[in-house]
Amino acid sequence: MLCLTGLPLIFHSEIDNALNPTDWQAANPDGEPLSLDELLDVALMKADGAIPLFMSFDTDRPVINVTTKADPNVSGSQFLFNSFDLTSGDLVPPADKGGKIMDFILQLHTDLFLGLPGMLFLGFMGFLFVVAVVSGVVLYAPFMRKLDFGTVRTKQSTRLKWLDYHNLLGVVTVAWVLVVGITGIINTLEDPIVETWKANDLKDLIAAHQTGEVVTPQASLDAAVEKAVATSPDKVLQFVAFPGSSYSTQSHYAIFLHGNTPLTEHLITPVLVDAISGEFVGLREMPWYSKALSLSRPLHFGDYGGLFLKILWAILDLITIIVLISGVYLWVSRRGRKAVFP
Amino acid sequence: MNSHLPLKKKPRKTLRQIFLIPVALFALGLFGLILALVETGWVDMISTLAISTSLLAIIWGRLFKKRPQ
Repeated sequence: MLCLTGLPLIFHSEIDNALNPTDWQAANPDGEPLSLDELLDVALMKADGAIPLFMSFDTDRPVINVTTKADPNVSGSQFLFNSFDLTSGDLVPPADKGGKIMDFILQLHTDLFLGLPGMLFLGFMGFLFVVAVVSGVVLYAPFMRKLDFGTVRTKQSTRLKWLDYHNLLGVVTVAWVLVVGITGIINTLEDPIVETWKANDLKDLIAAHQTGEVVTPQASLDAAVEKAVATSPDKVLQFVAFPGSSYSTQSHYAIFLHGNTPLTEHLITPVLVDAISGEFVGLREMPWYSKALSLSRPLHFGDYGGLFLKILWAILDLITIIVLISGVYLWVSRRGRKAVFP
Repeated sequence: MNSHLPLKKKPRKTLRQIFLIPVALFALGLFGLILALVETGWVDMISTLAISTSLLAIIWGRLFKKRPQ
């Protein structure tokens, strides 16, 4: 199930682009971009008095995305997600055709629609998968004592043919299978890892500045982002979480920066800036376990090395499906033989 | 004519002989997976090639290797 649902997820962005062909152009491609404060005002006007939760940025076009919510204290109130042209403030048409199907597949792959218990269950399945792969490597040796590498005995029994295929396909893909399997297990621990990060490393930073009420931001967002970037000149802005959102406190802009190299772009640093006074409050680098989680995501989904790598990822995924099915076939046929010749 | 000759037994392979190629493929695959994460651009092609060695091994095994009867 994980291999099958993982297959379309490898090409998530390609599928999105194919289902949502767009000839959208920025209104003023060569013009000065609007300030974040101006864009936030535009977004809040469109959202009819709602409060902002998150602001993020498209990487391939001059577009910002603003998530708002009517009342942060009312659970279940509707989120509103709008995209805006960075050069004009105009609304950008949503590109969400097929999004529900991909979200369905992603959730099936991630937690079986069961939330944390589903994630932990799949993590345990991943652990058993890794154990099965390691035991397969150990068992490879006795089967290959008298055979050369790559041997497939096609002219004897069907079972021998599939045993040889299972051994060959399995042993040449061990590195990829183990990396995807282990990073998959780490990904299932996302919630506990984020909670541990909040409870340990971010606790002192948040606790000292946490207030009861969600404040209405008054400090300039542009100035706050400038201050945050000034504390870490080797990092760039990734997204902003506003007061009252799940990634911030009740009274701060949480400004998330990420590195600007292929490796460090996956590692984020949250910077807290007071949403009333605009003062810098503090920042925390990610602990090792959060870094492991961040680096596990690209290594699991294979979306970090271009289209060729994605195609390779898909082929290796298909090979893994063949290894799994042939493994089940060998196990079942062995049980059948034992029943006949105990 | 040769029916009375004893059957030639194939020697048992050592662990080193059995795992030499799989370990080399494992190392190349791991190198490619990590290289693509650390660098970008033309290096992506090198990492893709490194990971592809496992597929090349399968193709070599199926197309060019002498098959036992």
